[in-house]
Parts: sequence; C-alpha cells; structure tokens
Amino acid sequence: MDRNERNGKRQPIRRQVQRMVLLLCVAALVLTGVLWAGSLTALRDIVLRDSQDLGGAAASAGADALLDQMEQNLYKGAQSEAGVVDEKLERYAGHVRDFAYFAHRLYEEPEAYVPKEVLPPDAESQYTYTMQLVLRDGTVDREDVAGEMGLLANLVHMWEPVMTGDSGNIASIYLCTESGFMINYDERSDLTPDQFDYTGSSWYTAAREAGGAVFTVPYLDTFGRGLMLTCAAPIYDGADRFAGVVCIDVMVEDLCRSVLDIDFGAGSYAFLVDAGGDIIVSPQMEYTGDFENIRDPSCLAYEAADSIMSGQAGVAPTSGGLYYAYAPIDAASWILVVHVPETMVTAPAEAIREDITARTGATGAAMDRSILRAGLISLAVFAVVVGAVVALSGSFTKRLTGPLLELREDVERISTGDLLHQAQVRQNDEIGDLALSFNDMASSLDRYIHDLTAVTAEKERIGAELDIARNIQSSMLPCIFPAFPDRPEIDVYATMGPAKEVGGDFYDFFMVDETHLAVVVADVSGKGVPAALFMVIGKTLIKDHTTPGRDLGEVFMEVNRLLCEGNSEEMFITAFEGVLDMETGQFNFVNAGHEMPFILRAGGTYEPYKVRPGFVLAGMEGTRYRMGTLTMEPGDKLFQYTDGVTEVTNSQNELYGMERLTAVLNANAAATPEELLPAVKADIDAFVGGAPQFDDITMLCLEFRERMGAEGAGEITVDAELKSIPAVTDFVDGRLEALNCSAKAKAKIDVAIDEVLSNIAQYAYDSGKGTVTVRLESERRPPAVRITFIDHGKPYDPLTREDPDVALSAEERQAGGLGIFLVKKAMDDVRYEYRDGQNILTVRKLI
Amino acid sequence: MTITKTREGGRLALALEGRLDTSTAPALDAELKNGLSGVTALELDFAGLDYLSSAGLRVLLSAQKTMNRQGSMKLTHVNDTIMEIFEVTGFADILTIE
Repeated sequence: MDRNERNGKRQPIRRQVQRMVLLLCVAALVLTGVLWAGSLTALRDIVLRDSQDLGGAAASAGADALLDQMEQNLYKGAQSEAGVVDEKLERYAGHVRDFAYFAHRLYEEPEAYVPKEVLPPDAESQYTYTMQLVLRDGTVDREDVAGEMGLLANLVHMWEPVMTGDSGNIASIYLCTESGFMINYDERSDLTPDQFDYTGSSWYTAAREAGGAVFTVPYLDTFGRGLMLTCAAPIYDGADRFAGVVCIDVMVEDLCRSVLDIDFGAGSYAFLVDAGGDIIVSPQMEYTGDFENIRDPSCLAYEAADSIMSGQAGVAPTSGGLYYAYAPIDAASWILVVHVPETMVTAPAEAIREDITARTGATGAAMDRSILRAGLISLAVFAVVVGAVVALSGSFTKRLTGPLLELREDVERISTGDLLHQAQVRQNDEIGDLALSFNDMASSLDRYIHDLTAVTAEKERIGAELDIARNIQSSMLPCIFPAFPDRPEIDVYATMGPAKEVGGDFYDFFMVDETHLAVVVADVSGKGVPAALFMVIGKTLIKDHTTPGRDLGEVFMEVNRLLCEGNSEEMFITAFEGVLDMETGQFNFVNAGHEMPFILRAGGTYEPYKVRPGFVLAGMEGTRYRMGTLTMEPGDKLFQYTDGVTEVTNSQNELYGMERLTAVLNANAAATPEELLPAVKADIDAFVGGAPQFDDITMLCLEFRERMGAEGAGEITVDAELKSIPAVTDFVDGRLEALNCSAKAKAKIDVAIDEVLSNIAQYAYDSGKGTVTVRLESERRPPAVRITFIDHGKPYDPLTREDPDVALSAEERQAGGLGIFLVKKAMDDVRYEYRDGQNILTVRKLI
Repeated sequence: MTITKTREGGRLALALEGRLDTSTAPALDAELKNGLSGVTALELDFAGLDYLSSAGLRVLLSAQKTMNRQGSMKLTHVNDTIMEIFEVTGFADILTIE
C-alpha cells in the first residue's frame, strides 16, 4: 500500500498516547478547578450579600437620624441667620426712629435751638459731608420755608455721629417735609439736584402710612452706588401732624452678600422674601424691579409658600426633593429662606451608606483578589502538572515507541532488498517478538529469492533454447510465397501459428516432378522438443519417399515402418498427403488419422471431403494405407488443417468447431489461398477473444487454376526416324500458333527440333529402332515455351560436343557439328540430363 | 520445299520455297550434284525460303566448294532468320549474299 493511501494525517503512537494522557489530566484538573472556583464564588457572593445587607441597614438608620439632625440644624441655622439680618436692620430702624423723635422735639421746642443755615448743593463741597437744600419744585419759596429748614437743620448733630460711626454703609441721610423742601446729608453734593419731587416715592408714602420705621425693598441706586435700601420713619410736628419723613439710605451690598453667602452645603442657598411673598434678594435674581413671588406655582418653593409665610420659623420639605428652612426677620417683616436639596440633607447618610458599600465592595474586591491569586496559583500548578505530564508521558512513550522506530528503520532497510540485515531490537516484549518475526521473515525471503533466482535463470535458459528450436522448426517449413511463381497452374499458401512454443504441427509442399505437386499437413502428438524432433523426422521421411509415380499408400507404409523403428517415446503423427497431377488434375491422397480436407468445387462451396483415414503414422508397425483419388478441375480448391483450428476454445469454453470453420470458409469462397487463411485466422481470433490458446493452428490451401498445357501444351511420341520430324514440327507449330508465337521464334524453334530429332534419329538407337517423346510446355510470364526431348537410347550429352570453328574458309569447313551449335545459338536455354534410363534434353525459348 | 530451276547457258538459277532442313536438304543436294556440270554462275533465290537447318548448310557448303572450282555462286533475297544463321555459323563469310 502506498503511504499516500492511508487514512488521515500521520499520527505517531507517541503523540497519540501523549495526547490521551494529557487529555485525561487536563480534564481532571479542569473539572476540579471548575468545582473549586464555583464554591469560592458562591462563598464570596454570600459574604458580600450579607455585608451589603448589613451596610444598607446601618446606612438607612444613620440617614434617618441624620435627617432629623439636619432639619434641626437647618431650622436653627435659618433662625440664626435671620437674627443677624434682623439685628442689622433694627440698628438702622433705631437710627431713623431716633431722628424722627428728635425732629418732633425740634418742632415742639423751636426756640430752644439755634437755626442752622442750609445751602443749595454746591459741587465745590463734594467729598465733604454737608447738608444740601433741595426744593420739592418751583412752587416752593425758599424764604417761606427758611425758618423750618433752619430748625430741622439741627438734626445734623445726630446725623454726623451716625454717619461717621457707621462703617461706611450709609450712603446718605435726609429728610423731606410736607412743606416742600428736603435736606440731604452726604458727601456727594455734586450729585444732588436742586429740585426733587419725593412725594410720590414709595418710602415716603410707606413711612407716612406705617407711622413707624419702614424698609424699602433693596433697589439699585439711582446714582450708581450699588444695591441700596432705604429705611424711613415719619416726622410729626408739635401738633403731632405729619410733617415729613426722615430716611437713611443704606448700601446693603454687604447685607445682601451676608445673606447670599449663607451656605448649608452643596446646592444650598438663601434668599429673602418680603411680607408680600416677593423674593427680594436671591442669588438668581436681577434687579430689574420685577420680583418672583413664592406663591407663583412656577416657583420652586411654591409648595412651601404657606409654611414660609406663616410668620413662624420652620423647615418645610417639598415633593421635589427640596427642603426650605425659614425664619422671620422682624425688623423688616421679611423672611429668610434657605433652599436645601434633599441630597444635601441626606448626603451624610448617603455617605455612610456609600462608605459601607465601599467597604463591602472593598471586601468583595479583596476576596476577588484572593480568589484570583488562588486561581493564578492553581493555573501555575496546573501548568507545572501539565508540563510534567507531557514530559513524563513523552519519555514513557518514547521508551515505548523508540524500539518501534528502530524496528521500522530495520524493516525499511529489509524492504529495500537488504535481506541479510537483522533487526537489533532485543527487548523481551511484544516488539522484541515482532523484531524476531521480521528477522525470520527476511531470512525466509532471502532463501526463497535465492531459490527463485536459480529456478528463473534455468527457466530462462530453457525458454531461450526453446525459442531457438521454434525458429529452427519454423524455418524448416516453406515460407516464401508465392511458392511457385512460374507455375500458373497452381496456387498454394500455408500458415502455422501462433507457435507459442515448440510444437508438432507442420505443413509442407514441394514439386515431386515437373508436373506433380505434393502437399502435406500433419500433427505430431504431444508438445515440446520431443514432438518437434519427431516432426522433423516425419517431415523429412515423407518428402524423401514421395517420388514421382510412387503410390502414396506405399509411401506412408514405408514412412510408418521407419518411424516405428525408433519410436521409443510412443509418439505418433496424424498426416495427410496429396499429390496433384497438374496436367490432368488427378489428385492422389493418403490420410493417416488426420482431419478430412475441405474441397471447393469451382463456383461451389467448401465441403468436407469424406476420406476414410488409415491409422496414425508410427502408431503400429505394419499398418497398411490405401491411396485415394479424386479429380480436381480448374478453379477447385483444397483446404486442409490441423485439429488446432477446430479445437480452439473461447473464454466460455466453447469449441470453435466445424460449423464455424465451414461458415468462414464459405464466406470467403472466392478468396485466393493467400487471402483465405488470414480471414480464417481473424475469425478464430475474434471467437477466442482474450482466452489463452494452447494448440498450434496450421492451415494449408491449394488452388488448382488450370491444367498444365491446357493452351498448346502437350507431348507427342514418335519413332526415332528422320521422317517423323515433320509430324513433330507440325505438332509444335500448331501449339505455337495458338500461343501467338512470333514467326522468327517459330523458325528458330523449328530449326532446333530439326537438329535435335535428326541427331536422335541418326545416333540414339544402335538398333535404329526406338521412340522419342517431345513435350511442349508453355510459360506465361514471360511468354516462353519449354520443349523436352526424351529418348531411351544410349546416354549422350550433346552439350559436351565442342563448338565448330566458324572462322574457317569454305574449303576447310567440315559439314558436321553445326546442328547442336545452331540449337544452342537459337534457344535461350538448353539443358540435358540422363535420368531413369532417359536422355532428357530441354530447350527453352522466349516467344 | 519446292525448287524452281531456270537454265540459261552456263547460268543456273534455283528459286527455293519452304524449309531447307534435314528432310528437304537431300532433294536440293541431288539437284545440285546432277545439274552443276557446265554451270559457271549459280544463283540461289531464297525469297520463298522460311528457314534452313544444319542439313541445308551442309548442302550449301558443298555447292559453294563445287562452284569455287568452276564459276561463281550467289544467294539472293535472304531473310533475317536465315541471315542470322549464316552469321552465327560463319557462313556469311563463305557465301556470296546479295
């Protein structure tokens, strides 16, 4: 099996064992780790949950207490802040009440005071605290009010210390009378107008109606001195009639700032609300003269407005998560409100809660860290254990597979052909057993291959020799076709094969004499060299004993006798021999146990010719054979074969058989012998397919085309006398004319006949009595005639006679000796032989 | 073979027709042996002669030898076949052929 055909990726045993151990180890560790981590996490969760519950409860309790505490603080803080503002305002209210009281005293006792002069404002006197006279309008005559003015000017004695005693917050002090003038005391005479109608001012009317000190809401000073507040109180004359108003303008930037700076924590601020609910001071407001009212639903403090305006101090929460702490400022009927978001109030509680949560979280984190650390340590241990397992299992499996690898190298070396190599694994375990088995196997293979090599070499040697034998055998059979190109009368073709090994089939054909053709088809029993040798003997004997005119039965009897003599192997031959007389078409044959031949009559079909066969050759001494005879007409054919043809089998083990053979022969009835045999062979091959073939296939076909001498051929036998010459000449001339012989050639042939016959007539027979036979044969290609002269006279070879000297003069020339010379010159070929008591002279002439 | 003979004083003319071979040569031989006396000019006309064999040659050689002694002899109208025979046998040099 090829390495590439194995399933999947290569996985060494070592790797597989390592992987399995590792897998088990890791699985155990992971399982333990998971269980352990689960337990730790559950424990941590329980601790954290309890801790959080505890912290939450503590934080809630603390927050409630803190909230109460904070409310108290707010309440007190608001009151305290309100008190501070109240105190400041009350001081200014006290001042104006003092001024009003002193003015009333002035009215009650004018004579007790020295009038003081008050001048109109003079820019020269700025930055000096002076009194400036301002008239209400043009209708007021200065002279008319001079007395009252001089009197009231005595107030300056009070104003001066107040002005200087104050820390600079008082911008100006002034009084306005019903009588139409105003005394202004400040250091900004440059800003003081000559006339100012004050009667419509809010502070004027408010003070008159209140009958006591009042405060205006803070406003931006007309003269740009910042946020200003006016505290006014009415003046009554000696008759307790309203005479005017005395005022202090206080710059309340600081006051407001002190309110605005109130800080109760992140998000808290304070603001002032007047008696009407207007927010008069607030970090958010701008002094445009419009105020937001807390009773306005859009106001944040709307929900707490009733509480705020109740005149009591308190703390009111809103649903919006706000707290309002409020406290009244009595001096000005104002209310100080502190806006605090609940978050600020609850912040400490939240802080506790957060603290607890944070501590719980810290605990959790600490636990997480511990778990993490434990986990990391576990991982490290895990890694160490895995490493150890890998290393240990590696070394273990290496110890296990090392010998295997070593054995594999040994086996690979053996597999490349080094069969003498011995595996050196000496372990006393299964691998050691395997190594021993491999060593045994290699030794066995080595022995086997040695044996096989020897046997194969022997077989090859024998095979080569058999090849040579087969070639020799094949070459003994006539294999040049056309076999008789100068014999138009017959056509013979034969094949033997496929000779896979030396076998006993053979065929043969040869001329027995000029007019007789012998054909032989035979099959020696058995195969191999003995059969081949026997075949050689058989073939040679048959050919040697087939002599002209001899009875074929006799031939076979003689051959049989000779074969039986040396037949120690008890082999035998089936054989068929036939001899065709080409002149008459008589076909004599003899059959020694062989297949019947097929005969095709001209224009007809091939049919088996029933021949009663004799016993096989070499089968039994003294066997008699009888010759049969049939007559072949021109166009007849004879087909003979060996049983290898009919007994071939195909892969279904069916025999080819006579029927198929007959069919294929008749399908090729018109074929020449040279075409017929390949056609039969092709049909056999198609039938056989791929099945192996064991027997030789030998076939021979003979066609008798025409009788010899059918056109102008023949012979004439006459007495050996001179007077017989014309008869012979006439006989030959008649034939020559039929052959369209040229006149010149005919003349030369006639001369030759004259010379030869006159010679025979005069010299052949001592007794003067005898016969001569003249035979004429024609040839087609090239056109020629062959004339044979046969006599039974004394042996004489005329060709040995010396040629005459043709250069002599007439007187010197001898008359004899010219005849044969003329024949030699006139003919193309002249031959002589003496055979069987006959002088046979043959001349050949192209015509 | 037929022989047509014409005699004019010492001149003898023989016209031959057919074949001059073993069977006919003796007739010509006899004619010449008997009829050459007094002949000084022998003329053989071969126009009708097909061929001749060595027997014919022998007769011609004999006649030539006789005429060499008493006159002259000539052959006329010799065909190709016969001329070829004369040539291969050397008779073309011995005979007078026109």
